[in-house]
Amino acid sequence: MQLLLRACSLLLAVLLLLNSCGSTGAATTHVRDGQPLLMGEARFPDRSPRSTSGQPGVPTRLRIPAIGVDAIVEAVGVTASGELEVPVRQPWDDVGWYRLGPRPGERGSAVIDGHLDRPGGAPAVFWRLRELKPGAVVQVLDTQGEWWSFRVHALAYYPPAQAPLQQIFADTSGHYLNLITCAGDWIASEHQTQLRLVVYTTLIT
Amino acid sequence: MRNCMRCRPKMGSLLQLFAILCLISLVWAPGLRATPKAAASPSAFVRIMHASPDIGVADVFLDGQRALSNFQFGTVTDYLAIPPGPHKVQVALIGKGPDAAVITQTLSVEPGFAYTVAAIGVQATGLSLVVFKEDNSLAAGKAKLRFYHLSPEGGPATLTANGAPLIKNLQYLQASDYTLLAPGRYTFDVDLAQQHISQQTTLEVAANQITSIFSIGLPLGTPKLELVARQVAGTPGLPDTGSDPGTSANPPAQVGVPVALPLVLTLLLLLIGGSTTLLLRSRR
Repeated sequence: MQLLLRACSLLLAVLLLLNSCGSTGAATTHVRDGQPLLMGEARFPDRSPRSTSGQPGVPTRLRIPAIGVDAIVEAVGVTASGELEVPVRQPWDDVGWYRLGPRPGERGSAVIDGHLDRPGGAPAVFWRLRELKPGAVVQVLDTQGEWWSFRVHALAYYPPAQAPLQQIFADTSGHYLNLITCAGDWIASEHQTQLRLVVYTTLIT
Repeated sequence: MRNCMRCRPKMGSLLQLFAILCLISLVWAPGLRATPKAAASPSAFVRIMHASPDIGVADVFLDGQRALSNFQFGTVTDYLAIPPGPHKVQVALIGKGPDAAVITQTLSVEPGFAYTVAAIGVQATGLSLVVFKEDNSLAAGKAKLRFYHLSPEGGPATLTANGAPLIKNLQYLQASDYTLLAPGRYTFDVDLAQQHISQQTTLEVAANQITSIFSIGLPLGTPKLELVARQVAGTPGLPDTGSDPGTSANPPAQVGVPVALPLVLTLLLLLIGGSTTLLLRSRR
């Protein structure tokens, strides 16, 4: 019986450990095509985003160390009904950069979107976006091999029809990168979630 | 009997432990969606147009602070982000300071909205600011156009595009509704009914852009009647980045580990616990 209790205690400890891993950024697991990816092994760039002069290239990769995101960036446009498109090549794992707006690092509001979840509810690339806190770092690699680093300064949830689109897409007062995903309950009749989450970040100079 | 007395509390503890583990696995559910937090208060966005023939080169003050300098007739600024709420706007001749303002008005702007504020009028009838609330959401694949009639002393204005009337008889100090155009090159003419005078400009209007055409100046005098155009990128709607949780899930290999793992472990635990209990009972 004691052996059994010890075995149970061990399993409890494993469960608790896994649980705590899910709420911290350093050694978390992240689902990618069904395979766990240990983000703690990844190396993140520490170069200054202003290490070279000139305009940024097209973004190719997005990394958010705090929540274990390391995603390929696809260029996206708008749908026939005027909404921002989502990635199509790897819809659940890639993120989409709005190619009709500025590039990350340029003046204005660059925008990247990504799915919250997959059909059936399993996590997608921006599942943990809501865990970001002000001060967290977001990094973008461009086609010129340069990293551009941004710092989170605010998170906001909006009903999609009431979002401040001018602020999200067209604030030219600085160099911004805004990340978008879904949030809130699923509304079956509208085939969408109740809210959108926007994470506002500013270029680190 | 003693053995049984000792066994019962232990079996009870085991059951409690299983219950706790089940609760942990159910409570630990990264799959649950987050409770929304309070939204950050967004800015308001304002662009300023100098459309007054009687105000020379000017400075513009916002809440007593100089926001624009060397502001010339016919100029339209970019959208400036400002805190929502009431703001005192003053227009003064360059270098004269806010105390010598020729226009002083308090304007209130709402969070998340875009506005065009135009300095208008002539000395004879008064100088002032007029405000237009904008809708810069894009129309997919179309060019969106709005016409502003800010030319005094000319009567209603009609705007034509490649010779065809687009906006008819717009009154002075009014802005039209938004009109959709096929992307392309257009020659726009404004015709002021009372003065039988027109002015034209040729523009390339692009898909997903918002084009503003301002009619400014005097039909009979200086600065003369002219069309000023300004184009900005339209804003798309927010994307649909959620998925139907009721849809049949992907193959097992794609089930998210954070969701599946605690359930699997709990089932495993129950299996081990149950079989061990049976084993102990059978030995007794």
